[in-house]
Amino acid sequence: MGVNMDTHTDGCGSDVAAYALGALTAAETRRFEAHLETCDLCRTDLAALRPVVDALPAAAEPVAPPPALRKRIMGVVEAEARERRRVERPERRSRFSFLTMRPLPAMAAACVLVLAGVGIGVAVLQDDEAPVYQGQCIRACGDVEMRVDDGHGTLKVEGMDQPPEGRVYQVWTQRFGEDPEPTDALFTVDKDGSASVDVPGASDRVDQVLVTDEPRGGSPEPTTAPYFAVRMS
Amino acid sequence: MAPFRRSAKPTAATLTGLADEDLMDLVRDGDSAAFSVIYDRHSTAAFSLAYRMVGKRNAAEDVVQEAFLSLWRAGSRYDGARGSVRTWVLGIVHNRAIDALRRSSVHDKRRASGEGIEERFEAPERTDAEAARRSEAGEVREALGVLPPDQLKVIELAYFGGFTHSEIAEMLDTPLGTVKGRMRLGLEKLRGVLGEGAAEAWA
Repeated sequence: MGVNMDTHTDGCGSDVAAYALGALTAAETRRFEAHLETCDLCRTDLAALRPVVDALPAAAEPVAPPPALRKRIMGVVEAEARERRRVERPERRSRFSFLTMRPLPAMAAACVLVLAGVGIGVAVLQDDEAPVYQGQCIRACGDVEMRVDDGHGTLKVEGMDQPPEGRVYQVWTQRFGEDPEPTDALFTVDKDGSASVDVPGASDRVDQVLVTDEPRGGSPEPTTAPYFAVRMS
Repeated sequence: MAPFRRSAKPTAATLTGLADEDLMDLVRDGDSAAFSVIYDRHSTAAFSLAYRMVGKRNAAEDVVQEAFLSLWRAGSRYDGARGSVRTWVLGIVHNRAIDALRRSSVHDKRRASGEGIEERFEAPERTDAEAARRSEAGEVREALGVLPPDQLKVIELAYFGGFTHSEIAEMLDTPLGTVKGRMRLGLEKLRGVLGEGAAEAWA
């Protein structure tokens, strides 16, 4: 049979089958695994018996899992996949080449002309000295202003349309020459087209803030062109 | 404006054409669509094993959910050189089901005889792969049927019942050494019946 049964000097061989079947207690399992490290005979035994144990599940009557289980598991998996993309952001490419002054596709070029026409955002000092920056329209215009108070940003919009069906507005921060960074700031507007949104990370290290529409839950990278930009430097 | 594409990612149709091992490469990179293909391929086997072991649909669902989420989160630990994805998944299910059985009180433990399984469903999939698996299942059941009853009993109690060798010895009022011997002889015999090559085909 090729499986050793009698030559283990310390009797360990009798545990191989129990171990392969999962019939040892947790403590016994740990002890046996430590023993496996040092015992060639047991490793050989185990390698011979393992495929037999691996075939055992086939003997269970087939029972289909309920569709709700798939839904539940995929819900968790998809949420974690989004989170992972958000945190890791691998292979980032410039989505907003027209904002970082690279060669321009025709449509983006039109946007830049708009930008150039509007000029640089102007910080208006209010009574409380918190700087306020005006937004610049790229795709769709409402009144937009961004207030930065002690590193805390608040974006106010008025007269914006609702985002497309099933999507939300997402706020991005950007330093020139780099790709936009996603923020957790997702929003829709009320029936008057108004919204006020906290923008985390809108510090003085940020050159501009952008808003795109994205699937619910947001995206790790922009998937549409921005509606407007608020330039802060 | 058309959405940007992240990269040239496989579409759903090409994903289902990929082998498990290739899908696991994508799963490691956080590809949820690749994971869903793995789930669809192996969830019936996983649920069948879990249900056979814990005997309740809710508990079996919990076991399968834990097992697949651990596959999703720890996919990097899968090593194709050590066995198929299916074997790996079923190994996780087996461990989780044993944990669940051992967490519950001894009296709640279901006996591995198959009693209490009222609902049995055929897997909906009727692909060639499923048909091949059904014939494999037939062979494994047949091989189990060849075992002497006392060997079959200890293997069922251990593998499907989640009992430890000492619990089985007590349950059967049989010396521990005898129980271990029967496990070993039973597995050896199965190995002979299934044939080395056949057994490895499922590994």
